[in-house]
Amino acid sequence: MIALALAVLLLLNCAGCWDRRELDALNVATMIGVDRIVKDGKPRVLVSILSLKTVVGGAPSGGGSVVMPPSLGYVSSAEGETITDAARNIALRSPRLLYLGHAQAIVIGERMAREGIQDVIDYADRNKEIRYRTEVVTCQGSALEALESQPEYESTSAMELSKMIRNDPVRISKVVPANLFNMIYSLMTPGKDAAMPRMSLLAPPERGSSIRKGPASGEITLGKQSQQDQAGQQTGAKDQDVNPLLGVEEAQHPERKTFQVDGTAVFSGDKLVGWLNEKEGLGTMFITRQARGGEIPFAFKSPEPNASYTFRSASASVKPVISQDGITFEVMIKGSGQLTEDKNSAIDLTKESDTKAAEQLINAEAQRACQDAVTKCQSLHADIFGFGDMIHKADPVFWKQIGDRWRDYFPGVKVQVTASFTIENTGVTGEAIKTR
Amino acid sequence: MLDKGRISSVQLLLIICMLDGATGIFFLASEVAKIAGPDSWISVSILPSLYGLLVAGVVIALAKRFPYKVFTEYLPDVVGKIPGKLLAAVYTLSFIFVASVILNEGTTFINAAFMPRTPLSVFDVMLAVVAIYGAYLGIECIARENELIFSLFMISILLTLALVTTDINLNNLKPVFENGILPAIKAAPMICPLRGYVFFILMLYPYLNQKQEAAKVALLFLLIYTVYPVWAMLTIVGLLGGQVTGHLVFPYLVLARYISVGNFLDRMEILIAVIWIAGVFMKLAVFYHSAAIAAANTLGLRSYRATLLPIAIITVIISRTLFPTILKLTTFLSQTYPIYALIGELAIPALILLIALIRKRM
Repeated sequence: MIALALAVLLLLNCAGCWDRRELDALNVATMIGVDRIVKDGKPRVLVSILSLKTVVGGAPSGGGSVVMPPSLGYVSSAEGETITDAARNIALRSPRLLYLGHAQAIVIGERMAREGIQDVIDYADRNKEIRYRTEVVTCQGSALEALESQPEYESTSAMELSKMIRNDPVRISKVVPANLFNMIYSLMTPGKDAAMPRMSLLAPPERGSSIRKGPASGEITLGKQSQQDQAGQQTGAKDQDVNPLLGVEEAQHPERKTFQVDGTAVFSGDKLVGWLNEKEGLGTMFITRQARGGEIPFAFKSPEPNASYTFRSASASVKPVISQDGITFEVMIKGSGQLTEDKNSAIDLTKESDTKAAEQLINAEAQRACQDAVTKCQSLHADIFGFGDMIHKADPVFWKQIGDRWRDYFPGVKVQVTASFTIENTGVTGEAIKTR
Repeated sequence: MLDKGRISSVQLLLIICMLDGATGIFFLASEVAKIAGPDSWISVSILPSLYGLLVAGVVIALAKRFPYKVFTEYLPDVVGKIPGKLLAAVYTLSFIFVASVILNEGTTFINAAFMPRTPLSVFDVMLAVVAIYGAYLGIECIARENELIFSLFMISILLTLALVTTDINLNNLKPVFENGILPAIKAAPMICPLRGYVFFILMLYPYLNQKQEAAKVALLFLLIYTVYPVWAMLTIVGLLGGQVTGHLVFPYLVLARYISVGNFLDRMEILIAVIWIAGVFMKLAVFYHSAAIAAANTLGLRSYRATLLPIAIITVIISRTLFPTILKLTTFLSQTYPIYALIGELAIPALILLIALIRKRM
């Protein structure tokens, strides 16, 4: 009897889950943009969502091949009094439930960033769908525009942006990456300020760019084959407009924009106070031990940079030294890599002295990058390196005296950078090409 | 002895391990980190285990005097009929109370973390019904079920902890003893009740087939649970830092969500659901079983099964009224529960042992 009752009870579970969300009723967000705007004199929040267009219904009949919907991403935005309110207000124009679990990036508008990002991070932290590995970026201008820009290589901007940021430390190390967890950590930890990549818009200058000649906003062509199929099946005038096979000239849209990640936003507390350029970004990446690969151009016996060094590994150790006359951070950077450019064979690597001299120049460049970054951040009162946190960990007693005033203390801190990079090889050629 | 089941010493060990491991790390990691910060791993190790050792000593000495009776059964023999029955009633109520706390923990977590729309009572009833069925079938069934479930439980825990190892930043564990050793000690009592679950040897001793191994079980349990929570806490705080760990409600869930190995092994939080459902279910079943036995002893019934259904209904009803919000629950677990546990797990058994010793002399 009990077994029967239990069986019936268990049967109830098979009906499905209370919290089920079907894919065709979801609005799957891939990127979230948050802006602060003023409307009718009142501050409002504008939340923009770049969503994935989910396929509804079965494959279309006829033709044999599955034709994908023309659009893979679209932006919808809504405003409200708080971020959650605005995000919920998207329901006013969308029948689908907003699902943020696949959001790959959160874009914060410049104005929002200047006025404080604490509530954005808090919103994302509290939201149980948004994950801690979601990238966080600040964009120049409004986040809405940033979301509307077109991806060049990937199917969605979110994918492109997050891959760019994730690959940065390995390839160039010029932009300080930050995910949601890093932001929460930076905001909560005394003696550590936040930094995140800067996303900025770019109209591609190349005439052949897929952005300029592609179909209308948000639409991504899916390769030659399907275009040919479409062209063969449909002969509408609209299709001819956007069909790239009919000639690049006909479909030029120079006003369309893509985006790039070209700098680092620096925060003091939760407010945006300035930007780091690429070189300063590299210095920051060295000090914070995030750099894993990149370029150091340098000038060898020449007024202008004429050689380039690619480092393939880098590590750093930072040691706070507290003495009578202040705090000094001794930063030791080590790395190895190869010479990748050598104009007119200026450097003769067969000579020990030339190698040593080149290494010294590389080290000087790396040190300068670090010093530039430190000087810039000191002028902004933003300790994005976590120097304060290091003191806290190394000498908690001393930290108790200065912890509260760290942002005022930080600009007076001395940072001594010593770099030691080694040239391990020269690529696949020995001496450089000599023009005769 | 109302339950005729027999369990082996390994099964006993696994049951106690399950009682400790199931809910503690989820609800208390954050509370411990709030007080102890980077020193949390020290809080969860030595001190609670010493307390556990104390409880184990008392409990095993007491259990050896009455090897064929359950704790609540011989209370009247030791302290007299009326006080004994009263104490047994107190234990019955405590078991029911703790069972409802566990039920509340279980459903609150699922609700907050995974299924916010499903009414809590649905989870309450579903969990309670399954656990009650386990208790109905007896301790032998629970022990065997636990053998199966504990392995799943442990594999999931080890997997989640191991997969974030590469993301750990050991600097997060510094500074050690920033405000002296006191915060680390202050946070320790919250973990004590968990180690004190070794008390359940008293309720399970009669079923044990090799009674001489009880002490070994207790020691092994304490050994395992001096190492495992330290590892878990080192991982959580090493990954998230003391500040963020204290700020989160379920740091362990965030830890599992943070797993990302090689860009393809991620979104592992479903393992947490596995750990959670398994742990809460087993814990509930054991508590229901003990509550039913204690109730039957108090009332002098010949079968404990009759009391199961009322107990289940009571727990489902009071679990919601006791702690309407998750913050009240965590506050209770971190501040009030240690005191209750100290009385129930250590003070009363120690008193009973003392009286039993004195009466033997007389």
